[in-house]
Amino acid sequence: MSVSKKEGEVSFSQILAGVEEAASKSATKEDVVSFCTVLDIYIEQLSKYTDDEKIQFVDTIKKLFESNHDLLYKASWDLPQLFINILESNWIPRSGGLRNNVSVVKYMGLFGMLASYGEPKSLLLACCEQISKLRIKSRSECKDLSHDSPLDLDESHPTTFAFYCNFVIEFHTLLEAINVCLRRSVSLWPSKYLATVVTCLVNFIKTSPSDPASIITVVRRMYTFIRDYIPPELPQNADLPANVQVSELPKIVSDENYLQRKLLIWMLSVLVEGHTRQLCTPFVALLVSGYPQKYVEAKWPKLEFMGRFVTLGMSMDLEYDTLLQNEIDRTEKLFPREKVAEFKTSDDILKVVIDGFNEDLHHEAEEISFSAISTIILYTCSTLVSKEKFSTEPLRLIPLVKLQLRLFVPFSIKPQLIHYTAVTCGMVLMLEAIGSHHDESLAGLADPGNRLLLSTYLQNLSAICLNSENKVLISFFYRFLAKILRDSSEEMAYSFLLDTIQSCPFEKLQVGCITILNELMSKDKDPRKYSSTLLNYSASENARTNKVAGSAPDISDGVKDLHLTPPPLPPRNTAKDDKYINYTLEREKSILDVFDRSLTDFSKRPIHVGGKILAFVNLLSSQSGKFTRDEVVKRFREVAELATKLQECKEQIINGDGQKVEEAGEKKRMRSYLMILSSLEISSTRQLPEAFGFTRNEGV
Amino acid sequence: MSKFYTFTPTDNKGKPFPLADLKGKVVLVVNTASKCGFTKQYAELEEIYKKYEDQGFVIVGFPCNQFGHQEPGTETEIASFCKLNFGVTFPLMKKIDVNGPNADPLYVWLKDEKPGLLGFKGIKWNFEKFLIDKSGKVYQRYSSIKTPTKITGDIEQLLKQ
Repeated sequence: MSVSKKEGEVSFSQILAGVEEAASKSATKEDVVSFCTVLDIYIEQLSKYTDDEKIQFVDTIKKLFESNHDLLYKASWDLPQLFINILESNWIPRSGGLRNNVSVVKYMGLFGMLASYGEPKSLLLACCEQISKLRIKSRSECKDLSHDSPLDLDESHPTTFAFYCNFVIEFHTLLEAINVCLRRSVSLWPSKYLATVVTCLVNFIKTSPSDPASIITVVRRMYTFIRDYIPPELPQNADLPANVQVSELPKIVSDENYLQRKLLIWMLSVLVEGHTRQLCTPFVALLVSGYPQKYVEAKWPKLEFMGRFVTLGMSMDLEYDTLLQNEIDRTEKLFPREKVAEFKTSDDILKVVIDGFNEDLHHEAEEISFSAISTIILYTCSTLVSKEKFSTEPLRLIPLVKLQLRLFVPFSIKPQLIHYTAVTCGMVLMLEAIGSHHDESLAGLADPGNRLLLSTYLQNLSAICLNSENKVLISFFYRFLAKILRDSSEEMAYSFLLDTIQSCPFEKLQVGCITILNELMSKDKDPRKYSSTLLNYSASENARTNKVAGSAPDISDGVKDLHLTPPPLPPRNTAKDDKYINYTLEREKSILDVFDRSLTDFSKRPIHVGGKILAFVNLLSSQSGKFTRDEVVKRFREVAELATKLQECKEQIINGDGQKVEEAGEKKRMRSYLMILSSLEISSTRQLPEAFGFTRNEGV
Repeated sequence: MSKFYTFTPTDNKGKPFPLADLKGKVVLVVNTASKCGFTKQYAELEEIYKKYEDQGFVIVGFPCNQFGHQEPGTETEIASFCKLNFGVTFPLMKKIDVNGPNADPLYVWLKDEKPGLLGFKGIKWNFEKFLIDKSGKVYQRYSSIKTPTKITGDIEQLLKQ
C-alpha cells in the first residue's frame, strides 16, 4: 500500500508516467541530461514508496532502457550514481537473506544491462569514481564486521544489516560493470584502462575508512577479478590507428601484456597486505604452539583464503623464495659487512635504514613491484602452511634480522605502516631459520659483530609488539625474545636485558625482561632446547621427513593437527652449574643498582614501578643462594617498609579515617599504593624471609 | 625429437607412463579436479576421447589439488570417482603440482612452451588444456572455460596432418 499522499503530491502512477514522458522527450530532443535530472528527482523520493512500487519503478526504467539502448549509452556517465541511489533508498527489504531476494536480482539486472549496453569508457570511469566514494554508512553501527558474509550478520540489527548489504552489493555490481567494460573497451593499449581500474581498487583498499580488505566478500570479488581478468580483443587490422603499422603489433602487444601483468601483480600484493592486516592473532595461533585454537577458528574463512592467494600468486609466476631473496639481497646492499663493522650505536643502524626507506619510497614511485610485506607473508604461508619445498637454501638468521630492520624500523616513524601479521611472520621465519641452520644461527647470534644489529632489532621489535596492545602478539614476542636470548651469547643476552631494564621507556617490557633475566640466571643450559622452535609447522621438518608437497596436508589439515608442544623434560643430572646467564659479583651489583633506582622511583610512580619491584623481588628470591645475603636483606627491608607504609594507608582508608589522606591530597595515590600492596602481599614478600632463614618477627 | 616424449609421468596405479609411447598421436594434457565447477568437463573429455581415439587421439589427465584444494582424494578415490560419475576411460596420472617450486617437470616444460593469457606461464585453474600435435609440439593452450567440445576443430585439424 502506498504511503498516504498529501494534497498536491503526485501519485505513483503519475511518477511512472513522468519518467516515461521524460525518456520520450529526451529521445526526440536528444536531451539526456534532463532525463537524468528527472530520474534523479524521482529516485530521491523512492524511499517513500512500498517495496512493490519500488520494484514497479525499477521495472519501468529497465523497460525504458531496454527499448532505447541509445539513451542508456548516452547516459552512461550518470547512471551508476543514480542506480546506487536506488539501492540507498531502502531498496532491499530489511528482513530475509540476500539470496533469491527479488530486489537484489532486479538491481543486479539493471546494472547488468548498463554494463552490456552503456558506453564502456565513460561507464568504466564513472564506476571507478563510485567505488572511490563507497563506504559503509555509519560504520560504527556495524560492530561485527568480522563476519565473513553479510548473510551471516545478525539480522536483528536491520539498519546495520542494510548498510552492510548495500556496501557489498554496490561494490559487486560496480566491479562487475567495470569488468564488462574492460572487455568491451577494444584497444591496442588495454593497460591504460586496467591501470585506471587497478589504481582505483588499490586506493580503495588502502584509504577507504570501511577497510574493504577486511571484508571477505569484497576480497573474494577482487581475487576473482585478478584471477579471471581477460584483456579486450585487439582491434581488427582495418581499425588500427593510422600511426600504427601491422608490423608493430607484436611489440605493442608484448609491452601491453607486460604492463597488465605488472598491474595485476601489484593489485594482488596490495590485496594480500590489506587482507592480512587484521590477522596477526590467528597467524600466531596457527603457526606458534601453545595458543588456543579459538583464535584460528574465529578467522578461519579469512585464513583459509590465504591458500587461494598463495596459489593465485604462483599461477602469476610469482616465486616467493626468489622474491624474498631479492628483498634480502637488497637489504644486504644496505648492510654490507664492512658497514656493519663500522656501526657504533643503534642510531648508526637506524640512520642507514631510514635513508634506505626514503630511497625505497623514491624507487616505489618509479616501479610497480610486489611488496616486501606481501612477500614475507606469502612466503611464510607457502613454506610453513602450504608446505611448498623451495629449491633455494633455507633462510639464514642474520640476513633475516637485517631484512626486518629494513622493513620494520620505518613502522616506528610511520605507525600507520605497521603490519603486525608481517611482524609475526618475521619472528616465525627467524625461529624457522634457527631450526634449519642451528649451528650457523648460534654462531651468528654469538658473533660480537652482530651484537648491535641484534639488539637494535630486538629493541625495535619490542617497541612494535608492545605498542600493539595485542596480548597474543606480546606473549609470542616474550617467548621469542627469551628463545633468541637463550640462543645468543651470554654477554649479549645479559647486556640487552640490563640495558632494557635500565633505560627502556616501556615499563611493561622492563618487567618482562627482569622475568627473562631471572629465567636465564636460573636455568641450566640445555642443548636439547636449541632445537625447539616454538612452531606448529616447520619447513625444515618437512624437508627432513621428505614429505611430498602434493600430498602434504592443506591448511585445514594443519589446523586439525594443532597441538600444544609438551615442555621438554628437565635434565636428570647437571654435572656443571652452567646457566644461560651466570652469576658474577659485578652483575649482582649492576642488578641491585637498578633495583635501588626502582625503589627510589616507587614513591613517585607506584603504579608504574610496582610491577618492576615485584619482578625484582622474584628475581632476588630465586637467586637467593648466589647474591650477597646482606645486600638482598637490605632491599627486602626496604620493600617491607614500603609494604608497611602501604598497609598503614590501607588501614586509614578502611577505618574511615580518610580525612588525613585527603588533607595530604594523596587519596588517589594511596589507592594506587593499595593496589601495589595487594600484589606484594600475595606474592613474594611473605615468602622472602623464610627463603633466607628468617622468621617474619626478625624484622624483615 | 620433441622434449615432450622424454617425460615419463607416473600413472594413477604407480606405473611409469612414458610419453614416448604417444609418438605420432595428438595428445590433450589436462589438469583435473573432482570438486570443481569445471569437473563436469570430464564428460566432454570422455566424449571427445571416444570420438577420436581410433584416429590417434589421447587425453592424459593429471589430477591436481593446488586450486582451492578441490582434488583432495587419493589416486584410487579419484579414479573411482571419474569412472563412476563420468565413465572416464582415458589415462589418469598420479596427482601432481602444476605450479610452484614442486611443479611436475612436464608442466614446467608445457608452460614454457606455451605461456597463457598476458604471458603468465602459471596454470590459472583446474581443467586448463594443452594440445600437442603428432610431432610432440605444443599446438595450443586453452583456459578452463574453453570446454573440450569447443576445441574439436583444432583436434581434427591436427589429426589430419
